[in-house]
Amino acid sequence: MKSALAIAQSVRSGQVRALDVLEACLLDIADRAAPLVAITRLLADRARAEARAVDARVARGEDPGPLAGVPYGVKDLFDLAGLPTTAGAAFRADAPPAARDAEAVRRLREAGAVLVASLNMDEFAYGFATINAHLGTTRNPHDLSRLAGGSSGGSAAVVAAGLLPFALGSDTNGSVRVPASLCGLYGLKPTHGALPLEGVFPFAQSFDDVGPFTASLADMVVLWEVLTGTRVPTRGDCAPIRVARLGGRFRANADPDQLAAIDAIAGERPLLEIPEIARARSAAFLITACEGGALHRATLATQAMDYDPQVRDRLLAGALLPEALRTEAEEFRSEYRAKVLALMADQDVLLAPATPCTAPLIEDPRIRIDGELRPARADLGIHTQPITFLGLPSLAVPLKRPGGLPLGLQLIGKPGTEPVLFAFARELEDKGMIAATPPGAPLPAGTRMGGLT
Amino acid sequence: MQEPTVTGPKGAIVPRSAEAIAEAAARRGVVLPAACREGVAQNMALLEAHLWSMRGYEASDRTGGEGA
Repeated sequence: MKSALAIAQSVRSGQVRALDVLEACLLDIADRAAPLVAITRLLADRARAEARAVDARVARGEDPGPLAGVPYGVKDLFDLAGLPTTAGAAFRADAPPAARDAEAVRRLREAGAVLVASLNMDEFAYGFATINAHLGTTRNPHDLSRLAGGSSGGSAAVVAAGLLPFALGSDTNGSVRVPASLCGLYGLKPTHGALPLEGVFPFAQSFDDVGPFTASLADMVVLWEVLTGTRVPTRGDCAPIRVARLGGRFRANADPDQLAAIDAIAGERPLLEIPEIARARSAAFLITACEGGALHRATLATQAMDYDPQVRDRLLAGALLPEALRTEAEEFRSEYRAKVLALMADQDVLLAPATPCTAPLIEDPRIRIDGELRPARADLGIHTQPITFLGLPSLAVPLKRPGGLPLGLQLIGKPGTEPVLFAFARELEDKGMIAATPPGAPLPAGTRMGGLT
Repeated sequence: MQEPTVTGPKGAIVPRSAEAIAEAAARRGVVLPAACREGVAQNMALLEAHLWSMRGYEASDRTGGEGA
């Protein structure tokens, strides 16, 4: 699969029709997607209509937009006009159809992108693994016996497999950055609220954000521009970007390759220790539980047994927490955020692992944290959750490691500094330190998808 | 005998015993099907551990927990 930018350039120039791009994409999906358990709804009719609209604009001599004819997918929690928004819950298949597309989807359509599929996730986004009791476990394209990560695992898997050049997910505590790391992609958690959340099924609104997955930095930048309606400035002769490495728990639970990369990038730069990181993660956990529980309380009262059992019990527990506890966590958050922002005042980018390890096996989904084996579904977000708690932007970038399982780093910035993160990532890309690596072995072909509409 | 519950400077409590969980559920109008009770109790224990951790006790955050 070509990059989004390359496809758009070909379509805009009239070299290729958007409809031809789409038909090739649909054939590829039919041939290769099934083993990934990533696509839940193939939207071929809608996609053809969108592609024809793009081709019509080209034929009229109009500019079809910066994403002209680029096929993409969205996590199952984005509203799509005329379809129920399932949020990964099988029992919501009969929910009333959405009246209109989510705002992010609308902006992509305006830019010429062509929506092809909706994608698997942990039910109601409550997990780091895309283990969905009803819709199946999404598999990692780099090794089908391993997890893709979650909760936006379907979005990551289709991009990593080269089936689509980009996809949208959502990140509440790490749901974009974790699968981006495990699948070897770029994945963005923006400054909280920077990308439009209208029409996105919520999980914990204090932390929810829309986040794109791409296989190249250039594609990530154009998506950012389309979704925000802004232009990323070229840095020109700006002052050098000030970088620090996060120490403490971030280094204690990391793959040696991540530490080597971080030290190669910024070995002479200070090790910054964010204080009370464990307290921050716990407060984030409590706020998430309270908000998720409150959101689902009414539905649980009548449909509890329709939920994924593990998700149900977590949501029920959250629904029973006293409001005072959430208030206490919010107060801690407010004080903590001010302290950390002061601590990073002299830095532009903080470097940290995105996940503590490579993708765990589906058969034995455990990872080692502080020397103990812990459930991957629970602890894969150990390094992303505290950053979420602070509302900071964080770009997951893939270490260049051909032949190895993917691993990512987080480039963390101050609020509103996504362009700085892109600029620093560009430096790393230019130095050959980061890049998405296609899966080594091709996916088994011939397992054609069936039963999808 | 009831299990101990965490209380802190702000006094918020995580219900832990079966009785306390049932009482909290009744107060909020939440129905707890029998099949959920064990799982809910386990999650309440996890939440209590996170409450300890947030308040700065030694319970560390090796309590895990999902919150993607």
